Amino acid sequence: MNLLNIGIKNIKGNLSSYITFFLATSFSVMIFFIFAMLIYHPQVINGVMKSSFRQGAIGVEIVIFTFLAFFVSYTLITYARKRSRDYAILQILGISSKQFMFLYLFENFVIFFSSIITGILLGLLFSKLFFIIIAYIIKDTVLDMYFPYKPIIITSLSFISVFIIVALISGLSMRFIKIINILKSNRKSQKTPKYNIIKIILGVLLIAVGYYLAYTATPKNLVQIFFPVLIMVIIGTYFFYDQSFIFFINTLKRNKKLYYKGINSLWISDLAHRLKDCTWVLFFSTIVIAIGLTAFSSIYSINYNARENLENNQEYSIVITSLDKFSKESVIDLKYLLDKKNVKYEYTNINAIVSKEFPNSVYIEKNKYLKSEINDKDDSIRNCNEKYILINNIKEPNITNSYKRIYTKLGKTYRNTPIYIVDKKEYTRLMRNMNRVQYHIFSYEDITLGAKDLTDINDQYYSKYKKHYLFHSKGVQYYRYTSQFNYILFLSFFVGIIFLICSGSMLYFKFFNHIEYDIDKFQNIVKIGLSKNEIRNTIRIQMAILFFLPIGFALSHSLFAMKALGNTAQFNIFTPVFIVIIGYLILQILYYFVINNRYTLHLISKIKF
Amino acid sequence: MLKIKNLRKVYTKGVNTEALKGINLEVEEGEFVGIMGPSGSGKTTLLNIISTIDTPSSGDILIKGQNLNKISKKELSIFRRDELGMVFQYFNLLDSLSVKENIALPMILNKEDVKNIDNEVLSISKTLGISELLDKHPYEISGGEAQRTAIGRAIINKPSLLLADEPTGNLDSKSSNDVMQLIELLNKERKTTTILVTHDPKAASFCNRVVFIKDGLLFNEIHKGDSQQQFFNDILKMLSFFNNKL
Repeated sequence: MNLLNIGIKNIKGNLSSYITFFLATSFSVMIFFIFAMLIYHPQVINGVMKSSFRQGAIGVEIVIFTFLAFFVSYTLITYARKRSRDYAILQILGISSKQFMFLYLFENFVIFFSSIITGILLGLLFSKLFFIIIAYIIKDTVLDMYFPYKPIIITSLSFISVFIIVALISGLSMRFIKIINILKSNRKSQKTPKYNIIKIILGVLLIAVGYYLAYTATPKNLVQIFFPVLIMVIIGTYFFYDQSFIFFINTLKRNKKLYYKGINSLWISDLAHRLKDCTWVLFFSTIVIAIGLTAFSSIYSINYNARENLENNQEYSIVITSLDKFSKESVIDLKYLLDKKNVKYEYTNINAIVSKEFPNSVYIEKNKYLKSEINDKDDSIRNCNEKYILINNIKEPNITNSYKRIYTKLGKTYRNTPIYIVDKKEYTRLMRNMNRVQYHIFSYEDITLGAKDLTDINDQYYSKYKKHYLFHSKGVQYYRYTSQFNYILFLSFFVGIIFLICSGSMLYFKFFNHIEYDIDKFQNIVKIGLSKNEIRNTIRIQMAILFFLPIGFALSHSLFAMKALGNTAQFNIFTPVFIVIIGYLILQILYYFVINNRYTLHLISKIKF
Repeated sequence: MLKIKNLRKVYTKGVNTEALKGINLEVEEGEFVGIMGPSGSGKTTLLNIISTIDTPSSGDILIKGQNLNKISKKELSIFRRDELGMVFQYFNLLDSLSVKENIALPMILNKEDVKNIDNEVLSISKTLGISELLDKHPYEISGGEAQRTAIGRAIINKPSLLLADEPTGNLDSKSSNDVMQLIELLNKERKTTTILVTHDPKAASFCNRVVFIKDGLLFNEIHKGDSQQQFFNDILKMLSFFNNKL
């Protein structure tokens, strides 16, 4: 029998209370590990996907790690505190500092280390699923499985270093806790929290001013007001939880008709204590959820508006420009693809000339242009007598001749190469030193049809003909845009879920830490006649308030933030924000039910009726 | 053995309250002293300070010539392990350990030989009448049994001072009697100096001497004569005198 045995017995004996700590840590490790697997995947490193893909994943990994490190530390400290009574007893029995640190680190390390292993195993298990989802979202092939020795090392080292730092600090601080306070805490009664009217007014003012500034934000002042508003709202939020809410509860208590009705007095009287206890967790989750929601909604809004912009702009669906010999092949390919996809398109072409290669200037003969189908139905080009007519908005075209600028649909489609319309004489003169090319123009309604195949054709010919080939397609743009945005969207959604689960779990830990107090309290009231259902309802109401208060508050924060962004970017925000919020709420409600059930079951099982 | 000189304790949280206003007390080797007094008189504070889990605002405590004010953190844990044994109202056993392991804990912390530990736990558990329960866990035994386990843990390292804070406060009268007889026995046979804080006049009547505290000051003390019954009556008289004075 030695200290090691005691440690092992302690772990066994406290298994039921350590299980949540274990699960929380395993979950965190799993998430981190899966992302590490993505980042260090050979196919990702060797550039099957774009480098921005890997950078995005690294960015998310850093955000996740910061947050998970905080979450894991919080969990570790909470669970160590739960056992402070045991540690106090050991100190009374005269455990030395060395022995104590050994026992403390050993017990926590065993749990922590097994969660790291579990997390990595779960990560391996779920990584394939994760890769499939990623592939589906970015519309690419699924990554192969591989043995991720680097991610395993990085994950283990990162979390072990978090553990060492937090466990050492919390272990040492545990040594200085006054034993007497711990032993007394069983019997300690709680004081009713008080509020300060000045702080309440200050808090309300800060939020009101912050909201007003956000609501009236203009593109000019957004950058200037950004940080002041952020700070005002953060401080205001803290005061709200710390002060205003207690004021609100006291007001409820004064309304005797309400307060004495049913179980109202039971949950209202206790709520102030719970809130005081959870102030930091609530505050923290509100800010995190608000930031997450705002980021997510703004990305979603941009994406939501992207397709609409693409469809409404004055461009052709597909335009190919290339040397005649090259373009024939791709036009056949394209027509075949569009027919296969049942796309009803209009096709036309026109000859042109280019000096050597793109993006040098392209010239089209005026008469041919006027006769062709791409001639816009107005007479501005016909009536123009200038030798050179530039039809797109290139800023500094590299020619010495004078020119007049008239925008056409073709010009709007091709923005990078200057396109001139010249008269027959000039055209013939230029032709001698130039290459003959041809424009192939396709128009059709739904640009999303066959977008992926179009992108493949595009990539294929670009790599084949390089600078002798120009390809423009709304479908390709749309495809590139959405797959990239879907990826970012997925990443931010993923981070959002983690925030949600973690902040919910922290609230749960808070509840769970007080379960003994709850058991005592309800046991006493059961004696004077309180039913199981009434206990359930009391917990349900309290938990619902604590669970949905941060989300409600965060919603209001992010709505104002989105309003400010909407004012400046001038796009439709309310539909996308609404979709995001509904999704988020559904998840939160699900999570609430799971946690509420778990807690109530545990509580009721400990109470004798 | 134990000398307390002009001990004061002021709680500064919120309103300043003086729990102990200058206590002087001496306890001889092998004595069995009871401390009584109404709620809030400071008796538990006094015991907590003697047991080193609370610190005095001023004044000195000497146990076997060792001044508790001048003891380092490192020496303190060794001091607690070797010289002090403590028993509480709520037992304070570790739920994850068996009765046997709970009793053995101080010896384990002292890195004693396994054989020694086993022998010692066995002999003590016989004296305490809990040798049948050694493999059970604290939540499987009764309050009286739990308190006897706690006493076993308190005396296994043969401390020079046994401190008991309301050891019968959570027990029925039969168990209370058993526990007090046990403490008395240990005091007589092992010559363990014992200090007991209690509300219960029956429990206090097992002591050689009872000290009364009121409002943070020593108020009176009475000694046991030949009969425990007579001593019990004296204690009751003293307590009713207290109540009348209120």
